[in-house]
Amino acid sequence: MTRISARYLGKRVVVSYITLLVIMTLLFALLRSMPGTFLASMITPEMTPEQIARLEEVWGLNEPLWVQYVDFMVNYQTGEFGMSPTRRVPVWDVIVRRLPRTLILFGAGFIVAYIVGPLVGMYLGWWRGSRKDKSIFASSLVMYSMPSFWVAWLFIWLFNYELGWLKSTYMFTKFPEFEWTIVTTLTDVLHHITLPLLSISFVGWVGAMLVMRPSMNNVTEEDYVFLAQAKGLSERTVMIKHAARNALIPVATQAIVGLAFLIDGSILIEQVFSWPGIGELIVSSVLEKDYPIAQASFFMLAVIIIVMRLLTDVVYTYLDPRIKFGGGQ
Amino acid sequence: MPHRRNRSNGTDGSRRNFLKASGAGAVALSLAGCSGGESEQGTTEESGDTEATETTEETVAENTSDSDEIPQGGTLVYGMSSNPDTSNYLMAGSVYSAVALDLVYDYGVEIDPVTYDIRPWAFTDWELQNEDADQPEVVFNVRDDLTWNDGEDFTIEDVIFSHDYIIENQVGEFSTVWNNIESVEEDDGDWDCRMTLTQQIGTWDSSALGACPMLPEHIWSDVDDFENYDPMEERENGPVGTGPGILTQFDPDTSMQIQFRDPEEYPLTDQDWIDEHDNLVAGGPFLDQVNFQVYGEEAAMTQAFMRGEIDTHYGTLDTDKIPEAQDTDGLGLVKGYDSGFSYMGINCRREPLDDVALRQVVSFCFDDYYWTQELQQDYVYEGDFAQSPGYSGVRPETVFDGELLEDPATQAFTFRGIDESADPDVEAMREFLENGEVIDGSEGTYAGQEYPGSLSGAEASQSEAKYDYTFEEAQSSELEDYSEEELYVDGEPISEVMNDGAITILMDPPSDYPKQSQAFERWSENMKKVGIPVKLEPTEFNTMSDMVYYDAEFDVYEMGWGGTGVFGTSVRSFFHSDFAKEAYEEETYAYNSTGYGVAGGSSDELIMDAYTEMDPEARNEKFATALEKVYLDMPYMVRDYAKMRWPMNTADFTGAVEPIVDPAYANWHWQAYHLHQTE
Repeated sequence: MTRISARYLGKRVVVSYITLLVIMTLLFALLRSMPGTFLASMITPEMTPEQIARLEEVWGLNEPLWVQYVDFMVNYQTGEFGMSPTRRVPVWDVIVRRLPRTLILFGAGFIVAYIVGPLVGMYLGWWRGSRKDKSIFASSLVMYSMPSFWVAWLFIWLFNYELGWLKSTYMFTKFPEFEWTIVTTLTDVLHHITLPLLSISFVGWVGAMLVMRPSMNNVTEEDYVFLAQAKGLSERTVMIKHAARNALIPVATQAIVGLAFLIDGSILIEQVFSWPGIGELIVSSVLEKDYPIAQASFFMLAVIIIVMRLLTDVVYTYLDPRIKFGGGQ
Repeated sequence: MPHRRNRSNGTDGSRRNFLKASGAGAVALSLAGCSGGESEQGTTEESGDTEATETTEETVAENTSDSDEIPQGGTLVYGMSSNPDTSNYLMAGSVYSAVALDLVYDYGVEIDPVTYDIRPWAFTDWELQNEDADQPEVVFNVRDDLTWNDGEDFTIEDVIFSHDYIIENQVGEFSTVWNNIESVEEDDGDWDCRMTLTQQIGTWDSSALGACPMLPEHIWSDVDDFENYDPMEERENGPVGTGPGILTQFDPDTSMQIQFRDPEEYPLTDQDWIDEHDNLVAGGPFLDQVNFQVYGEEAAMTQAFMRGEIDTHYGTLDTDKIPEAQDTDGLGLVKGYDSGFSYMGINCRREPLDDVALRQVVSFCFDDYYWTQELQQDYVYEGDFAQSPGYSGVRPETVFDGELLEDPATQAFTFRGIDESADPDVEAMREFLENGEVIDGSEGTYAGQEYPGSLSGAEASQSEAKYDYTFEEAQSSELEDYSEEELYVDGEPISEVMNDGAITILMDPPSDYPKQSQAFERWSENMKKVGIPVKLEPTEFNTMSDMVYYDAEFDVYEMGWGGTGVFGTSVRSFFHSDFAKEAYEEETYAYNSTGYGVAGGSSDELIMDAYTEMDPEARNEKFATALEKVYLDMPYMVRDYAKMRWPMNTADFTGAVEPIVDPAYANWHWQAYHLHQTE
């Protein structure tokens, strides 16, 4: 059954597109308002003003700001991100190389957080007020208050420095002394990804739990739950099949926000673990005033979040049969 | 002779690196390829005009004098805290690319790391002709036994092509080549090639003969768009050079690998002049390869070294980790000098900072002992001239027979404390100003301290104060709790003369650099006690560099690194009026940030005289004189010279050359020729 109309979907796409344009404009304005340009690192003392002017021309910095803005908006919408002045390669190449690594790490982090969080939230919400609920809830709040990069350092200290169990840098072993096979590759990635993944999930799951717990608690008062119990279904079945499914709806919305926070956190986590993804790229490009790279990185993250948001609207209708968008309903 | 630059990633090390990149660093490093002349036992040894200071710290093992005894093989793992940019040597602006690529390419000549003489490298011998002409010529011969790392022979045509290519394309990273060289042609006489210079250049041998990397014609003649050329895409083993290294891996996000050619294929390190030095060994490199690993941040890289994940890393070891490294078996530190200095720049355009006398008093107030000994735990030398002590060939005390860093003439502006205490001698400094005194280069007692007179005979631009200074009732709220009297300039309180009611010092945020901020706090308190209102203004690096180099909107700023090069040639960029903002019609990056030469004194004449002097000895003397005049005029207050401590896994590797300037970068190629496995 179609629960979402084409018209509504079209509207949401337009709104998403406008949102993207606004974000792009903000990106352009914010990055241009940063002091200085990347040219400072390209100019040598021997260069004459004419040579410096030529450099400005090559990099389009001699154009009026509005021309730069129009170029930027047009180029980005056609997938033309330009060249990186500091890395001397097409920006797209850098993004394409880096983005999958970020998606692997944070995709995995997201999955772990949104499996553990709702499960724990379900359990605590069902047993709300119990000693277990109180103690786990309090502990999770403490975890939630910890900055993920600090947690990361603690884990590095424990699992890498002290115990030597896990790797604290990169996604793969550099210059390995073993042959690359499917098994060694998977083992090696696991060896490297576990610590950053733990650091992300350690804090990340709490967000999901905090939404699931009250949501679960609310549905326990619903008639259909009492009915299910009255039918003699097992508590486990009632909790999971009848209560948790309905309690999940706000979690789905929160997941999008959670994803944005996770990606925010990627900047620091990738830096700490030398994980060569988009987050680490953002830090270095902003500090180097490499506008093309910084803009493209932020742009890609914005696109991901906007698309996810759009998908949520669609998924929502399937999670909750009562919700129908568009079609005059 | 590496010609690399770098950019900032916000950390201290990188901030320094950015400055290497952005200022005279480019020139400084382009000329860097040399060390002091100290033996590895830590004693003092003089070689030519070089003298290194004595040190007592434990260091890595001695070099073996016979290369036959040196074991061949091994992989050194070198950590970096930032990414390399590209494997295209003509576009590579990062030192993190250069540490690999400098091992792939060679230049015509090399600077002797011990004597600072220019030595044969790809060129065997040379001669300057028509030296009095507007465009002097240099004739030279080319080695005929070199090969490119793809097996092709290196030829005279390659030499001519290399110069032509860089000149025609005006390759930005090698602007020295096309600024200094008009053309290189095959000579029709007894020599292989004839180079015509664009102008008279005192350092023609290093800045022209040694400026151009050798490029293979059979590769680069097919490259029309050098800016978008990617050698790793074209060939499995990337860039083709005559150097000992082959770039076998280049993943700019995480790693690079250099494999060394068979030593027999690389004759350049097997030269007599190398063998003649006790602390150098001919015949390297002795390693099989160097693996470069990129870390996301400096702390992670430091930890990787301490845990033995990497054998060494770019830059000096974090000073907090030095004691731990010294106490750990198998870890060592290679002593070295920084290739530059940290400093405070004073805006000579702004009244009353355009007065040498006031700038000198500002310098008296900085507590050097507190900074170098208490805060920096003696890991820096006290600053004086705008020239690294590692490049001592043009330092005034070296040129004029004084003791490096110790000569009393280098102490003219040390902190004026009462009986060597931390309390500023307020009365002495006030008297200095009220009497209109200036340390002008002549012998005397100034603000309570004797000065023996300048080493070179240089005189400050002023012999007396420009303004009439008095101390009267304080008007500035900044002086509350410090002084009841304020400095008056020609009868007007300085707080009314200065735009912001005080001298504003731009400094790094205290959260990033707490020790530095403590030193600046002390400095500002001392000035306030004298009666000079001061404000400290924490400013992020990018903002600060804009205010300083583009807008010249500052009173005083601090910078982590500046360098004037082996022969002091970059003194011109920092202190000549041609490089000040006022010299440019449009707003642009001006290296002479302080406006010195435009206002507040000038050394223009001395600098240009040195710059165009063709005789090396006379040139050194002239640069030393210019440096001493700049010191007296004080547009820069040089804060310190870092003592570099390059970390090394001494359990597995030995042979590092020390003490040496910037062992991890500027002289890294020399280290790569010498490092080898322990027995």
